[in-house]
Amino acid sequence: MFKQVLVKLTETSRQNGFKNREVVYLDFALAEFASAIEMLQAAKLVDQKMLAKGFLRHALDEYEHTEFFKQLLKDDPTNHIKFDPRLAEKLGFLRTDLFLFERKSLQNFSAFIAVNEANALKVFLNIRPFITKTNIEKIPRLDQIIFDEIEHLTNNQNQNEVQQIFSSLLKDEARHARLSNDYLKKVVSPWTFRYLKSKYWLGNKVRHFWASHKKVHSVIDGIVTKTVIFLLIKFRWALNFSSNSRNNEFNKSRARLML
Amino acid sequence: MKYLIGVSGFYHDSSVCLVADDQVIAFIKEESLTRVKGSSGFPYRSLDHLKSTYALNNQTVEAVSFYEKPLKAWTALISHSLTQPQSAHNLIAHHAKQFWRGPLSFKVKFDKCLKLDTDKFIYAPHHLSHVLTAQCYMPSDGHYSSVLHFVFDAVGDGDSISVYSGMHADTRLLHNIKFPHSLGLFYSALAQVCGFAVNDGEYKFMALSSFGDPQHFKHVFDNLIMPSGPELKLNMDWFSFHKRLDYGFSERLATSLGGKISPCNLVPGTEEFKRAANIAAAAQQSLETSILHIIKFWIDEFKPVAITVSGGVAQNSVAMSKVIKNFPDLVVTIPPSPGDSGAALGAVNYASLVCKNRGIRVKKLAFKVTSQSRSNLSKDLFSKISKKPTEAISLAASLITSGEHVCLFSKKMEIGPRALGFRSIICSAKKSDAVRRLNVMIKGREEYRPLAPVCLDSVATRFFKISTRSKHNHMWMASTVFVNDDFPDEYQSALHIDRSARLQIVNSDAPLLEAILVELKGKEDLLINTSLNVAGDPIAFDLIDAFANMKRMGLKYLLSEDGLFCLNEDL
Repeated sequence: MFKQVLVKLTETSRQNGFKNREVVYLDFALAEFASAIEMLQAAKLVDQKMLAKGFLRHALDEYEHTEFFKQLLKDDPTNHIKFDPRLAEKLGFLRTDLFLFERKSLQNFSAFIAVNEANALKVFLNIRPFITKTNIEKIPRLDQIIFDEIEHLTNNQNQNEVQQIFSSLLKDEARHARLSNDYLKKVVSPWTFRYLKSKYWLGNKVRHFWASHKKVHSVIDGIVTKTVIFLLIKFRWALNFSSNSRNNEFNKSRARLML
Repeated sequence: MKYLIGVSGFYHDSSVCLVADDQVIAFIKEESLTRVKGSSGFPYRSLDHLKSTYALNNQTVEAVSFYEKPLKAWTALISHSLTQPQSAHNLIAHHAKQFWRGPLSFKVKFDKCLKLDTDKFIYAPHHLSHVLTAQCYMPSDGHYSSVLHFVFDAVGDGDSISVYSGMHADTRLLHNIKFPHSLGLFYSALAQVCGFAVNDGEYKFMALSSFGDPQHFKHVFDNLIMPSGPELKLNMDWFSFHKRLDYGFSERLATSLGGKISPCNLVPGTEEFKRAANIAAAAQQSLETSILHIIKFWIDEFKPVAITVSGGVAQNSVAMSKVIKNFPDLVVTIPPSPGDSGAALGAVNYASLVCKNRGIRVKKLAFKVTSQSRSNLSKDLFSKISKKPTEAISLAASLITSGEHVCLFSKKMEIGPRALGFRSIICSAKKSDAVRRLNVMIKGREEYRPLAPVCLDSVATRFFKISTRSKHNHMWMASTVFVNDDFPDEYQSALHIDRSARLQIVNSDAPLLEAILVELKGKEDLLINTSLNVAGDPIAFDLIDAFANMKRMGLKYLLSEDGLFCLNEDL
C-alpha cells in the first residue's frame, strides 16, 4: 500500500480502539485499492517487460489486501458503511485525469513507492497493537464484535491467524519498499537518490499536515458557501431561464447552446 | 475521414463514443480504463485512448456532442434547491461548486485532451440523448408509422420522465415531468434504505425483490407515488434527495419501513433479509405500476406501433419485462445500455442529425478495443493450449461439460453493462455446484443474485415465454423472461427464485459464444454467462485486466479468437 490513509493514529486510538473503526477500515481498503489500480496501470504503461511483471505482481498483492479490509467492513453487523470503489476517486486516493505513473518519471515513481511503502509499513505497525491487544474487558462492546468478526474472516480460527494475515501484509509492504528502493539505487546517483527520497518524505509530511487540519478547511468552506448561497438567493431570478424544449432541437445554432 | 464524438460524464458511468462514416467505430466506458466501477468524472482516459488510437485532432473531428445541456441542468437543480435554503444548504453548496467543477466546464476539460474549434461543440438535451440511443437499436431501422419514446430517469436537464414521438430529426418532445418527481431517485432512495449505494446497488435491490412480498409494506408505498393522467408526483415528505446529498429517504420513510438496514446483514434466511426483500418487492411493484401507467396513458392517446424505453430506470430488466408483457402488440425496444453510459451514443447520434441530417444505426453488440500494454506483457501471461479455432472451441466445450469455467475474451468489447460473450465467464447450467461456485466463491457476488443463461434462438422459444415482436431485446439481456411449463429440471440453476431469467439469445453477432453453443447443441443447450470481472470491479478491458481478474478469481482457461489458453501460474 503506497496510498496514504487519512486516519489519525493517536495513542488513545491505539490503546482503546478506533472510535470510527469502519471509517478506518474503509480508508485502508480504499488506499489498498487505489494502490492496486496505480500498479496495474504502471504494469500496462511501462516499456520493460520485467518491470511490468513486477508491477503486476504488486497490483495483485494490493488487490488481496483490499479484500482483507473489505472483509473487515463486511463482517461488522453494526456497520452502515459500504466499500464503494468510486470513493477512491471522490476522496482523492486516485486522480481522475492521470495515473501516478503518467505523472512521474520511472525514477520518481520508484522513489514515491519506496517512501510511501515504508510509511505504510509504519501505519500497519501502528494498527497492529490495536488488532492484537484487543481485550474483551477493556474495550467497548462494539470492538469486541469487530474482533469476533475478524475471527470469522479467518474461518473461525484463533487470534494468532489474524496476526499471521497481518504479518503477511507487513512482509508484502516491506518487500515492495525494498524492491523500489533497490531499483532506485541502481538507476540514479546517490545524491539524486537522497534528494528524491527527501522530496517525497517532506511532501508527505506537508500533505498530512494539511489533511489533518480539517477544521480550518470547514471554516473556510462554510464562509464561502454561505456567501455564495446568500448571493444566489438574491439573484435567483437570473437563474430562471425560459427554454422551450418543444422547439426544433436539431437546429444547429440551438444545438450549440448550453441552455 | 471525419469523426464525430459523443461524451457522457460528470455524474456516473462516463463514456465516449466515436463515429466515422455513419458507423460507430469505438465505444469506451471510462471505468474500463480507470478500473473503478461507475467512474463519474470527465472521461479523460477514454478520450485520450481514442485520440491516440485514431489520431483525433481539430482537422479530423467534425463535432463533439455532450449528452446534456449543462447550463439548463445546473440552473434547474440549483433553482429547486434555493426554494428551501435552510434545509438544503449543503445541496446548494454542492451545486454551486459544480459551476466550475461540473458539466459547465466540459469544454475546458475537453480542451485539455483535445483542442477543437469552439463551434464544433454541441450540447444534446439529456433525455433526447437517451431517446436517440434507443433509436439506434430499433429493428427495421425504426421505419414505423408511429413511434413513442419513453425516458425514465433519475434526473437530466431538470427532467425526470420524458415522452417523445417520431424518429431521427423529427423526434419531438410531447411531455416531461420535472425533478424532484423522479422514479429513478424513488428507487435509489428505497435501495439506500436497504444499505445499497446509489447508482450502484439498484440491480442488486431488483434481484432481492423476487424474495419478498409487496403486500407487506403496501400501507407505506400507497402514499409514496401518485400517478394521475400523464403526470406522476412523489410525496416529498417521504424523501430527502431534493434536500440532502447523503440520504435520499426521509427519517419518516426509514422509520415506517423498520429502520435502515446494514448491507452486511443481507444474509438469506435472516429477519433483516426478509424485511429488505419485502421493501424491495414493494418498491419494484410501485415502480412497475408507475411505468406502466405512464406508458399506457400515451399509448391510448397516440396508438403507436413501436415504442422505446430508455433512461437509467430502463436498466431494471424486471420492469422492462412487464412493459413487454403488457404491450405484446407493440415492438418494444430497450437499448443495451439505456443509462447514462450509453447516452454517449445518443449524443453522437444527435451530432450526426444536427450536422448531416442523418441518424446512425448500430448493428453490432461490441466494438474493437486496443490494449494499453506497451511491453507486450500479455504474451507472457497465458500459455497456448490450442491454436486451431475448431479444436479450441471443441476443447473449451469439453472443459465446460466437465464442470470447468471458461473465460471468453474477444478483440471486441460490449457496449452495455452486460457481458454478451466478448468478456464473459461461462459454465454449464446443468452443474448446479459449478454455477453456485461461480456466483459466490469465484466472483464474490451475493448469493441471492441469479446468474444469466445463454442459448441459441431455436432453444430460446422452446424453453422461455418470449414475445416475438420484442425478441431483439434478448440479444443484449435487456429484459427478463419466464420459463415455459416444460422447462427441463436439469437447468434449474439458471433460474431466479421466481423462475425468471435474464436470458441472452445468441447469434452470429457473438461468434465465440455461438460457436460454443453450436458445439454443445443437444448436450448442453443452456449455458451460464457472467461478466469477466470480480464483483464490484469493471469488466476486464485488455488481456492484463483479464489475467489480473482470472488470477484473483482462481480461473484457468481463456478462449479467444486466437485459440484456447491457460493462465500462466508462475508470474
